[in-house]
Amino acid sequence: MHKIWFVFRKDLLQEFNTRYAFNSILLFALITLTAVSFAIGTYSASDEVKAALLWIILFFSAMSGLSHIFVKEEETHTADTLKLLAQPYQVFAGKLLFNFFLLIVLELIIIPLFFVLMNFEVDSLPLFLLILLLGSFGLAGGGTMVAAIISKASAKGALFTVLSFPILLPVLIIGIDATKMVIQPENSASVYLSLQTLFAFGMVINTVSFLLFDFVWKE
Amino acid sequence: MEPLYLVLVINLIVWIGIFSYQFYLGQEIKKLKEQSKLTDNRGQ
Amino acid sequence: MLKLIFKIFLFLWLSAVIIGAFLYAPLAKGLGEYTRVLYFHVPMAWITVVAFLMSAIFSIFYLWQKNLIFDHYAVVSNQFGILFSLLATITGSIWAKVSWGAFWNWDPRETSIFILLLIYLAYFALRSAIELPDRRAALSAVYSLLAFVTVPFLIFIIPRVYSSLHPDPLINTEAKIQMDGRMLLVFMGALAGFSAFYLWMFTINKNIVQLRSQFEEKEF
Repeated sequence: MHKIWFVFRKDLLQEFNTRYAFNSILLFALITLTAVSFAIGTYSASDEVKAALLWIILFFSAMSGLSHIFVKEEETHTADTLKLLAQPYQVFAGKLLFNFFLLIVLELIIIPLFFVLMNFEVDSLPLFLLILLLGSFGLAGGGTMVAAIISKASAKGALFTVLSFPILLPVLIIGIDATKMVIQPENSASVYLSLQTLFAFGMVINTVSFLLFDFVWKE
Repeated sequence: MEPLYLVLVINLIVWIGIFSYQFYLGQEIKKLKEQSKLTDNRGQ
Repeated sequence: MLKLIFKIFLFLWLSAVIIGAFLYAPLAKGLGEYTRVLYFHVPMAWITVVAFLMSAIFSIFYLWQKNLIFDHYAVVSNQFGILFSLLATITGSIWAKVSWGAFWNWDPRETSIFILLLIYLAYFALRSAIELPDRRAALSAVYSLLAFVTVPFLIFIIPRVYSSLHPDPLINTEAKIQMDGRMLLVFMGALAGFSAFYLWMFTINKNIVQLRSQFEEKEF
């Protein structure tokens, strides 16, 4: 537990100094949000379109920044030192925590902006936040694992999106659908099924990533 | 000829083609395997 | 000799299935001539799943024993996976055109086969980006397993959450095609025959891969 915290704090400090991942994620999200809002306008989009747009913005901004966490270790050749300092599962947990934190910070900034710019209203705010939380959990788990895989390959940037997309698509599909249900009050009862699915997906992908991370990290 | 029979005949022809190619491939592999065994024995 | 008999038997078996599908089996109630594609579409989809399962099993074996031959087997089954998922998609899409009115309408079942295809393609994209054979094998095995656990979500859960038009004994029981005895006979025969044919194809490619790795060893 101590070591997990250590890895997390180390990444946080590094990020604080360079702000590489955070800047790229946030700016990507801002640019897409502006482009979408500018192109569609505030009032014309239906609720379904807004839900889909929100998740597409979140998903692709996550794709633009989550891979940095492992790629930077390979680029600066610090991976070997980290191997000596901590067990594989501790490294993975620390990095996962960091990516999860990154997504939460991104959402804290982007979601209020989305509400303002897109004239977006939800029926039940706690449920909406829960969907985002569970969705980020799945995105962070799959994203971190794929980041670990591609950090060992060449052509890292393009490959990350290609590999993550099919694995994380369930989050995207279920997230969009659950958000649609939250927007329209009459559907709120069936949103729990989607929440369960999102939670199950997050648990499964994270468990499998923990089990398989050893093989990637030792390569 | 009725369309149904036409489709059936096309299907059968395609199937015969796939099968004969597969069969040919299997025989070739068998030959290669025996050859590689022979060269192995010679090398020892 | 036994193998030869098996091959001839398989040839006659699948020829009988093809003829049976067109001439022997009656049409399903309420559906037109196009139901005959059933005897080819379902086995293709079934083999896609089998190929995916086999590649996951070979990936586990590779990670366990670190023998590169298992990596080659996993690649072979993934190649067949691409081929058969393409065939299943094409036959399914034609069927969708005549019975639902459009080649593609993002039915949950169509979405899931499309994602399966994307996973297979991503697998090969990953492989082409890594030079070292050991590293390539390990990383693609991990990716294959990671993808393997997400597929049940697509195949089983998403179609349950979202209504599907696709007839299926597991998911959409109401739209299940009622098969009488003769239809069921041809259907099961097709399933068994195509599975056996797939196994034969796989064995041939397995032998090719074995020979290739033997020759490579000799060169070095």
